[in-house]
Amino acid sequence: MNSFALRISNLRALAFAAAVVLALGVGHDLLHMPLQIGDSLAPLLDAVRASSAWSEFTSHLREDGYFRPMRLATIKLVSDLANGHYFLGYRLFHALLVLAFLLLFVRALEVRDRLALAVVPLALTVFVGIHTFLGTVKEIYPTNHFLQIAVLALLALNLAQSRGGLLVDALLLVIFTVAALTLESGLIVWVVVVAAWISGMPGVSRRSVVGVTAFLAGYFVLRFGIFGTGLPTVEERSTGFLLEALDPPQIRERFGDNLLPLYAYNVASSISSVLFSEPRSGVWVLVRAIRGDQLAPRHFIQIGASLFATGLVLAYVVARLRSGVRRPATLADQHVVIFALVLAANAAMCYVYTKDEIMSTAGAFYALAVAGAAAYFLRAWAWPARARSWPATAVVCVVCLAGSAAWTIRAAGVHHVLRSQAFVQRNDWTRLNREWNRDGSWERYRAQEALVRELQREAIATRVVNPRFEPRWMERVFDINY
Amino acid sequence: MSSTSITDAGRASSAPTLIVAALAVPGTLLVLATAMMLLGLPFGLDPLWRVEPLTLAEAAALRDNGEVVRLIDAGEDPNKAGAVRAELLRNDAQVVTPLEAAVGIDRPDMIEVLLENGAVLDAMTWTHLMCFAAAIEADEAVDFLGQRRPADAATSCDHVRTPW
Repeated sequence: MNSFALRISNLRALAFAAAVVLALGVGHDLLHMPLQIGDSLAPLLDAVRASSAWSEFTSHLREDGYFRPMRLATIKLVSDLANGHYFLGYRLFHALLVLAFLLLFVRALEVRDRLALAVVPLALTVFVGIHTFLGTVKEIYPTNHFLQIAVLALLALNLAQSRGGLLVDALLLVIFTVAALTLESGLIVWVVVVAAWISGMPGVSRRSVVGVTAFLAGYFVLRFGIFGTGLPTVEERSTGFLLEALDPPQIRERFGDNLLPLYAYNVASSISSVLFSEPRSGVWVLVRAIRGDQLAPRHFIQIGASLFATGLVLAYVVARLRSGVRRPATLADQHVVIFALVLAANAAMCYVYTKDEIMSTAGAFYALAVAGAAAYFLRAWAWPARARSWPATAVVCVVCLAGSAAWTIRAAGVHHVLRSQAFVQRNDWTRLNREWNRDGSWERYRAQEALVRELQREAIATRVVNPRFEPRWMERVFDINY
Repeated sequence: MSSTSITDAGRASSAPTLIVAALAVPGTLLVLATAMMLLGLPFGLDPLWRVEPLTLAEAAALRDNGEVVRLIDAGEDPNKAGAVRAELLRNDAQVVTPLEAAVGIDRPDMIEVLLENGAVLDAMTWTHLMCFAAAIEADEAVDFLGQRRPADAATSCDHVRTPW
């Protein structure tokens, strides 16, 4: 290995090391969090009593509105691997996914020189600090399917950035299949592959685009033609609208049979949420805070950070267009194009209801676009012919420092949100008896009462931080669990 | 395609150090702080998950249902009075039973957790708690206790001494 290659590998090692550190920090949080009851306990119990992952897969091919057989099969697989240690098993699986998520992100950055390395801390804080990331860690479900999809999307992107070949073609097909069968928004992998091909990434061949598109067609035939699962309706979930969350009857009351305005709102607000951190899951929390006289520094930090990062990306696009670039010429160009398409597609998938976590894939690609734009402007600023005056440099420094500090605060706040979530989740276990008696769940799971009691004991025994002992400034500065 | 690096490499070296630092330093500090935290874990130092030890009455006062159940599972007596440090319930420190603490913060949910886990609501305790709840205008606690009145419980608050 020559000295140049050695230097690049050292730079990359530093970037990966930073990702590993942040992933371990989040993983450490995850191991402190009790299993949650809502959305997690029932699937876990169902998985434990299922005979095999295959039986879980086949028995969930015909659900109304949803097509997620691989999700249940994955839960069963992890359950079998956990060998009775469910808390540890699911949490380790979750932590490993988080580690893979961050490593794939850094790998996609392709750090090759010091300036690219200098951008990595900002890129990582955007990646971890954006609120869509929270959706991949604060709940386990008991395997977080939103995180799985985002990891698969980044895996597809990494393959697209490779030299390609038959193996890559085959892997892209496998990744698409796993993602599409795990969650409806797994179709985003098709968007990643096609967008990577459009933007000229070397790893995606025409053959793989045709193959993945054929699989997409097959998905629709299977889902709607053979299994007839249909699409989710507004009757199934509440969704944020303007300043409040509307439950299904309220949605019908407000929109009647013409749901197009709601769909348009959901798509537009999902896009805005990634770019500007508002609204959150469809609710304009900043406006609500202003009206309720509850404005806190976190509102300014969130929006300020997003204005900085989105401003960088927009300025980058303008700069590239003004310099005559019409087709992606660098990796940063490609990342921006792919981000734009992933953002649009991801938002379109939120048409029925919008949630921050559904946009987690777009959030990850947003961080890639921001990293590319930041690296571009660092290089542009370094270009001798464009030497700036001292005042201009000072202004840029202040803006960059404020922007990167805001993202760092957001990233650090993930720990705070997870601690709050852990407190809530442990308390939920103390209400299990009452709630399961009320909703009849005990009748369904009476045969597994011993396991439920064991999980309850384990959850209660988990030591969590009481929010009363958190410094008061934290809840004003860090994000909260919307 | 000219390059697969983030942008064209080769004109990288002379970026103003200040701008690079402004972009890189905050995130780098977070990474270093996280690394320090991780290094401290084998030595029992865990600043992110430092758990403050609580008495059962304090856990009840702080709406910490999970800690209440954990402490009772660990052998704490849910009927025994315990210390509650200043600022948690009142400005000054208190010695109250977990049920008194739950009434003091007007949380029927906490009263219910305590009752499910061994706290006794006999006639005398009921009268005591009801008078206390009425005195501090803990309306939700009053409603909840009203539905749980033992048959022989007195309703008069004469001679009942409330915690505050």
